[in-house]
Amino acid sequence: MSASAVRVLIVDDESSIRCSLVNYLEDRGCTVVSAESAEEAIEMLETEPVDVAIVDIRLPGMDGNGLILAAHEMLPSLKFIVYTGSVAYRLPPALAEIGAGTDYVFQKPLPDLKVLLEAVNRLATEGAALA
Amino acid sequence: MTVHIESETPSAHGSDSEGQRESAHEHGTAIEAPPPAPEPQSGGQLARPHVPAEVVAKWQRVVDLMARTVRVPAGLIMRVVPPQIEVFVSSRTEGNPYDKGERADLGTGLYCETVMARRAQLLVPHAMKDPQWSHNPDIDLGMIFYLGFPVQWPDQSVFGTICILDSRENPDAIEYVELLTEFKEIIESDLAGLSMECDRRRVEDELQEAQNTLEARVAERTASLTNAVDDLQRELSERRRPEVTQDLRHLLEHMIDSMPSTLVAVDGRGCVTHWNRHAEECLSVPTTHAEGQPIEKVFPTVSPHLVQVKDALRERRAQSARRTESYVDREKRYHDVMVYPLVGDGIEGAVVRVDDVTERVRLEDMMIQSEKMMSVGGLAAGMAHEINNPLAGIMQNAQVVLDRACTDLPMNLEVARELGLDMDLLSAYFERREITSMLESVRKSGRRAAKIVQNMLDFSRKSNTQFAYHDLGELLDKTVELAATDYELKQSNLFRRIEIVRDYDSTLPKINCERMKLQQVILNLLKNGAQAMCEEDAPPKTPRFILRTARDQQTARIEVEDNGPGMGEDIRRRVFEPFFTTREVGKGAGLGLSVSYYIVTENHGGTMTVTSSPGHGARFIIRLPLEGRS
Repeated sequence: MSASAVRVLIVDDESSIRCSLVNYLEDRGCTVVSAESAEEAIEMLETEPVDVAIVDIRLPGMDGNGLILAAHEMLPSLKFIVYTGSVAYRLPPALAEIGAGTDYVFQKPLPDLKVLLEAVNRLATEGAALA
Repeated sequence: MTVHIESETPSAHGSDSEGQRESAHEHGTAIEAPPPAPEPQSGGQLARPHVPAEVVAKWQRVVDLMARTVRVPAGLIMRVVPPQIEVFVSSRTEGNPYDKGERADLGTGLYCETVMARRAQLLVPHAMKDPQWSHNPDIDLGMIFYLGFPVQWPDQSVFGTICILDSRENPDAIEYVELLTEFKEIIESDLAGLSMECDRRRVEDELQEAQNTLEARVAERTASLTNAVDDLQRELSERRRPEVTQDLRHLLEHMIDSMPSTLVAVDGRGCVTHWNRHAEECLSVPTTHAEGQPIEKVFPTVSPHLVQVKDALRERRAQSARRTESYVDREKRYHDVMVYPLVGDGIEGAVVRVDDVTERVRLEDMMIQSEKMMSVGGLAAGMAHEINNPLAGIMQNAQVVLDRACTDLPMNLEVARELGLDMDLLSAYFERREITSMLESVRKSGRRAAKIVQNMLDFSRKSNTQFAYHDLGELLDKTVELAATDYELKQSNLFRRIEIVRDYDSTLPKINCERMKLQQVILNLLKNGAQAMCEEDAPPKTPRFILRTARDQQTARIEVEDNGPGMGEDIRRRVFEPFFTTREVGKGAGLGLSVSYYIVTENHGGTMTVTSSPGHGARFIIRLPLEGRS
């Protein structure tokens, strides 16, 4: 299992959310790295191998949408999950074009993090099948 | 003499041009130009200025001097008087055959005729030697020598000539051409002066005439003004007669009675001296009962404003209070109260004016209310984000803590083993100390908070203010959830005790409606019902709502029934009136049911009714068209 562990990047500026997500996913066997900002995440992607990125939208500096576009540019196989507290969030057309789907947009707070874990596994399987 | 003449000349010449233009234009000319006169001047009716005696006398001296100086028997000034020519002035010299006033016909070949026709001087040295002049009439008088100059009015029309004649050839005379020209100019400058004088007189006459007209008009106007003043004075003195004063008094009373304000006059002690009709009607106190009474006794609305009445009387300054509240038949009314002192000779007192501004205040309140709703919508979205993030932090961490306390996660067992910790014992400890259930409780509270935010959003989100098909049962349930989170209801801790009985028709199709607005209606009913059930002195043992949906012919029926105290007919009939409230002042605007009524009837084309009787609860019935709003 650990050999084929799904590699996840979590980007959120709120530490209570970011750390609990890291802990939860690690407990479930994922290999997790995290970043507080989009800029830090981009830097991380240059060295860390990642399958799925869980991205908050409202971030200091570059926002989540910008990050997804930039990261896709760098790693076209990378999959994305949007996890936002903004109730008015609509997936921008540019993101839909690169394959981000509304099924992978989640509203904070999630009553059970299991749905996030399932989404991560689904996307990882998808990516593996394509590869 | 010469000096005197010369000094006159320039000034005469100076005004010449003007004089010429004026007279040429105004008068035309009186002279029929002698043939073959080149100018087509027609004879005007106006006479040339009269040459006064003193000028004639002067000319006489000029002609005498001239004749003597040049040593000729005849020096003449001729004046044309169509169709003749007249000797106007003749020198008093020896051998002069011409007499003053003597006339000769024109067109007979006279020397002077030629001078006038050509407007040029003429010298005939010896007529007998000149075939052109050898047969002219003056030869009969023995005058064979002629030197003449035309004399003209300032407008260039011909007056006549000035000339000298001799019975012999007079070679010296030629030397005198210059002198004669001077004389000619003297005559002409006199003529110019006469013209000017004439013009001046004419202008003066016209001025005089204009002045006369003006004076006549002024006199006329003054007369009519005087008449008007007289009339006015007569009328005024008539008005002072008693019956006229009476009329005026009636008019004023009518004006005061017709005013849509309550107008009450009080004397210095605050007793009523005048009570208008509006006061009679609004306060149901006839004038006869009110007059002489202290104002607070007959006009309770004013009681709180007595101090203002006193102030107005004392300080002689207007006082006012706006939007004062009072209850009339359990209905809140608003009034503007204005008190102003009576100002006049020997009058002490004040006028109290009260206007009912309830309608205006209600409209303003309604606008404020709808603005509040709008701003809540905007706030909710921003607030939701702020709440959702920390909420996620709380809920996620609680979940992870729970995860790490359980025995089935491989990683937990691995760490426990490393530490030599008995996982089963730890788990038992957590159970015994209720740590697990407390953490579950944290998650549960988090979920509830999230739901509250969601409901609030749904309720206020603008995108939901559109018609769509909704299941009424579902809509009712969501509203119950919303009501459970309502602050006012929560404070009374009542809603939790209320039993909810659902009786939904599962075959009822979805209804086209505005979900948010319909939820607002149901929420209002739930809140009112809950309040009624709780505020009653003897609340029902089990407060209960029965929510029903049913199909009723072409309508969907929603019922919200409570088992509260119910209401009497008097209240039941008024519950949908705006601002009607049975609650104490300051609790609720009394808008809820009227807004609900509006939403159901106006927005959805439905009906809203209520059945109730005291002690038997209330049942609100909403009917919505099945096909949605047409």
